[in-house]
Amino acid sequence: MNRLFFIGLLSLSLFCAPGAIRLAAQDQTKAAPASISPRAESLLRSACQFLAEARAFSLSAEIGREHVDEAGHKVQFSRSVRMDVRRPDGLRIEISSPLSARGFWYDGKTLTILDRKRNCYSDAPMPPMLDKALEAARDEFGIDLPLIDLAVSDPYKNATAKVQTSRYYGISPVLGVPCHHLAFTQENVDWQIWIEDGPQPFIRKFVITHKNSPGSPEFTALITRWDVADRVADSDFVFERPPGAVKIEMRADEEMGGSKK
Amino acid sequence: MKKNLKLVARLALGVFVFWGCPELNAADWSSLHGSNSAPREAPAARPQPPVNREPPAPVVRAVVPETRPIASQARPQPQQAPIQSRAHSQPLQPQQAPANRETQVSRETQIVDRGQLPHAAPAASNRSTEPLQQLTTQAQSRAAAADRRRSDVDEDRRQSFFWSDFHPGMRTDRLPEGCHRVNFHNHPYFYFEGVYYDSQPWGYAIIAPPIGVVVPELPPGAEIMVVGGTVYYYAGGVFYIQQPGGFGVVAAPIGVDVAVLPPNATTAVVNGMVYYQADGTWYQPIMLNGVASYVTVPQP
Repeated sequence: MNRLFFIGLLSLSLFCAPGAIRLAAQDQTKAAPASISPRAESLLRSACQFLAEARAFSLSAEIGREHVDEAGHKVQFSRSVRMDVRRPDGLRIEISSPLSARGFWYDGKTLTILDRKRNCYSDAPMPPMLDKALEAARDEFGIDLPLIDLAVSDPYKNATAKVQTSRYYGISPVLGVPCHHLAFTQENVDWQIWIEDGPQPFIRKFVITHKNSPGSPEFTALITRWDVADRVADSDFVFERPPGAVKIEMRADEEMGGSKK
Repeated sequence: MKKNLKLVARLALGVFVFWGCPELNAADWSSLHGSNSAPREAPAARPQPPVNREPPAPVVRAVVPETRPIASQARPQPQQAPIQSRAHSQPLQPQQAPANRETQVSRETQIVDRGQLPHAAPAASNRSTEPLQQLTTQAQSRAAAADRRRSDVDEDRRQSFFWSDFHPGMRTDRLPEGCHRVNFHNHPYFYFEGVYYDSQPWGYAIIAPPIGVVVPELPPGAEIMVVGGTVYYYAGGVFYIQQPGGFGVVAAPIGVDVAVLPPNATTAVVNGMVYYQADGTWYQPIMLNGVASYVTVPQP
């Protein structure tokens, strides 16, 4: 009897320990005084407002994602990205490298993904507005799209929803362009952003550090081209099946948070 | 008492891994959009597809000629030429190989003087002391593999592994330094980092491994997959399970998804559906987490 009681008590203690640790950490976070830089907040707000007011935009970027292997070795894999956005219901993204090339189309009704290397595609119905469609793509199919923080209707609200602290680090160059360097912290990620110093506050660089993951891997985006003139045709957001492309089933892996098989 | 404590410790680890470690939960790595949204509801458990539990048949896979050449840029390419399928009943002995062939350091399976590769799971002999660490490693590896696939970088990653440059049907005149000699059904094979060699009069043929052969260590970069409670490892188109003496080559379990097809996979269209087939295993392409993947299915 005593043995069973001891085992039960031990199980309960071990079961509760992680949660208790996390709650204690959260309480500590709440108790700590927030360090918010008014200048950083102001610069971010103006850049996001400039972006939100653009009815359509197009950009090119070089992105890098770090991965940490079982031995702790950190490697960065890079991709080129081209993104076209037309608010409120048009998105097209091309992600490419010599080994991989994927295209994403959202036309207000359907999200289509094309693997250009394997010449196969898959589609799924989506809600009519881009914000909702991005949520559905993530929640139902576990799709992780780069740079969608720029495509949502309210980039400022999206970016600052969980910010705990912010700092302003002055002017520094990005691809030769003088930019304001801002840094923000959240519970699970830290992120930095570089905003062009001038009348058009383009976001030129973006870094997300996953500080609670082993090795603190980073996602980096270097935006090499901006175009806020509405040059994208409606047809660019509609998928056209390449010759010979095979349609395959779209699924989500529950390990990545998706809910649809 | 000791067993009960172990059970409690396993339960606690499970809770810690899946509740206490935020990094193991899904996150959108390339945007703040996922991190800053409301927490997702836990998805409904996906029903596990049936698992092929039949014991692996001790047969040798036929060597399949090259059908899908691997794009490899900077590495020195081994000689490529189709070879004859070899009947298992007529094994070739290593001494039949030409005398001028440079057979470098080959060792019996039992003699492993290299350290355990960082990626390799501990040997079965250590099983009594490993369970907690192994469970954590498996959970982390699965999460890392799922994340890699979602970001579509497995093709990049595999380029760094020795086995990515080889496929059944290729030939070479020498064995790599440090390869292991493994005997199976009284026939010697040679193994190095996921590549299997068989002696031929002209050198060595690179072959698909016979099901049942046991190798002392996993190929680098082997992914962990759990099907119905059984832990599988996958690399270079070959599935392994841990067993005494190392890791045994087994038939592909049904219902697992892999990011990269075996190098000798060929396309097959059945009832208007596209499949891929390699060494008796059938793969159905799916778009998983926005990335093309392949799930093992029964023969259609």
